[in-house]
Amino acid sequence: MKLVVQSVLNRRFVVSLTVFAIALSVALILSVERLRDSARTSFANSASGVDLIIAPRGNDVQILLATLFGVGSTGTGMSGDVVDLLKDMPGVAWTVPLMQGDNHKGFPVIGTSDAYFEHFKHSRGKALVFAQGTPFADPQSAVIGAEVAERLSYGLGTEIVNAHGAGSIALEVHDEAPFDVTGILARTNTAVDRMVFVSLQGFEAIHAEGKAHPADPLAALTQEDHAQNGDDNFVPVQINAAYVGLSNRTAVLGIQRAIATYTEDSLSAVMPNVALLQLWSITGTAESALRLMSLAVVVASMIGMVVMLSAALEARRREFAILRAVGASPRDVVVMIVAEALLVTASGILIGLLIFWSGILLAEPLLSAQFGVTLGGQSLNASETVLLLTILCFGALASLLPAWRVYRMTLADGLTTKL
Amino acid sequence: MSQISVSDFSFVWPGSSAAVLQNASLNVEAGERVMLRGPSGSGKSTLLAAISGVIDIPKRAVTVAGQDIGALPASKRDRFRADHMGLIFQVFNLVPWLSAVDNILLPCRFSKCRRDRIAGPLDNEAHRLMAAFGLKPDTLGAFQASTLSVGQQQRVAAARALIGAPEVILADEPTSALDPDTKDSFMQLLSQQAQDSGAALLMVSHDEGLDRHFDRVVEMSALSGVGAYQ
Repeated sequence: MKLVVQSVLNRRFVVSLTVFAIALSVALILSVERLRDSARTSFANSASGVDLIIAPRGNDVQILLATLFGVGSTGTGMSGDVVDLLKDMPGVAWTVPLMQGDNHKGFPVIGTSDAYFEHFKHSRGKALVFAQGTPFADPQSAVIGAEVAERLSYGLGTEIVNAHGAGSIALEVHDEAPFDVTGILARTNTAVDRMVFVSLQGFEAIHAEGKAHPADPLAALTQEDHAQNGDDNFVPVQINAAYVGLSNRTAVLGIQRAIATYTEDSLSAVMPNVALLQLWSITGTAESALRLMSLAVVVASMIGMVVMLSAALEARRREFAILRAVGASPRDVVVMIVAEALLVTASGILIGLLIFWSGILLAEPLLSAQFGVTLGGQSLNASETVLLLTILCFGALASLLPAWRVYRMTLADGLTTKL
Repeated sequence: MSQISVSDFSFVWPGSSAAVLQNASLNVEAGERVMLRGPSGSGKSTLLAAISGVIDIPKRAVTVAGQDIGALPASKRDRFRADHMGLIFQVFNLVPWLSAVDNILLPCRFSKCRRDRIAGPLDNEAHRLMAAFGLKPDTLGAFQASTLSVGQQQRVAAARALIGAPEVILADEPTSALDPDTKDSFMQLLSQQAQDSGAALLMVSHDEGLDRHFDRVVEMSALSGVGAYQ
């Protein structure tokens, strides 16, 4: 064994290149797997507490992404009365109205009611918890997700101004209508962490005034007064979507039928879990391609190792002959080659893990801020461990090819070192 | 006691029609130093290969240290070689990336038998042998083999052949890469050390000037062998 290490050290340049290639491929395949798993878990967690999403007719996936994840937007608005209609349907436990279309420094702003914090569930039935503060106290209240608070270092009482549009580029800033942060949600590791919630009244007020009198400060004043005087059962004229929680799951069909036949607006009723499956079937092809690519990279790095071992054989012929002369059997020489392959693969995997871990450390804040996706820390799950062991076995297996060649070579060469 | 005994040994390389060796016989006693001389192709190397157990040979043809080599399977022959024989070749004797001392100690890694015959730390024995061969162990011992001169490399190889006191030392033209002066001093040392350790030394060479270092010089043609060149 000491001989193997010394022999490897003697060829450290080529060997370290090979180790590095394996390390990169290991890091790549681990990242691809982890990213895919985390994205799915995180999305499923975000979507787990809502039974139905009612929104203006559109693509299910688009509605899902716009409402639960704040990515993109739904189409036109729908009448605020829909919420009242839904509330009275049999089997409906709760409804939460949603208004969208603004952002705060790139974080989506959702106009909603206190019902949101009461009913919305994430990660298999966990309710939202306030880390600090309370739900909306007045129409100018805002509640922010944990990520928003952390990234922008906001606390209770911070005054925030929202911008129109979904992107981080502020096209039109509603600086005439600031909100006060009254509550900060505890971390959920879902899309909620990166959302800013404001009351329906507040949301509607800034838009109403913007539309009606873009440059009339007096009109703005009257609008604001109206908003401030709004009561708890405020019903906005237009909303973008509504979440529905069911007390009876079988009511889904009835509600979907009612929605389909609703005449005032054309609406869709989206089941988040079904829409997620649709989403995965869309991204599935790309995922498989990515997976296949990273597998191909692993195979390529393994071939690289076999090439390295094989190429070194000719140069090491003399070395093997000497070892045989001092008593190594051809089998000992084969063991040396396989041990070297294992050593190289194992170091490759270890360094790959280091790269993977540092990658997670670097990427996690970014992914968490942008998509509410968390990568699940340093520990390896079962399938990742199996993957790494498979790579190790594959490395040992691949080394049998040069090992077999060296076996035949040492038998043929004997102790003579005539080259 | 005869350490090397070759009796009535014939050998044909697979795929070749002519016999390299025919009815060859040779005996080397413990402590005896024998030079085997003959032109290239006369079967010297084949004979060494047979004695060292690298090629498959019939039973009861070659006995080394009381063991019938032909009766051992290939893997046992490797082990037996490690335990009982020291080998020195013409050139390229050393693993280039190991230090001189590590090269000398190589047989001890593969043979417990030779390890056990050394009293005290292995490094001390390696240093003793280096010093016996006129190499400064303190400076040269840690040098990588590839940085040594050819003459130094051959001496390290000789020290390696002798470590752990094997019964038989086989040398295949160890002096052919050396210049005349180093040749003589190398043979002087090898011969002396072989005698001190009580090993049987069998060396093949076509060098004329080295006879005085041996107890006996045997011409290949006198083995009653029929060389392939004929």
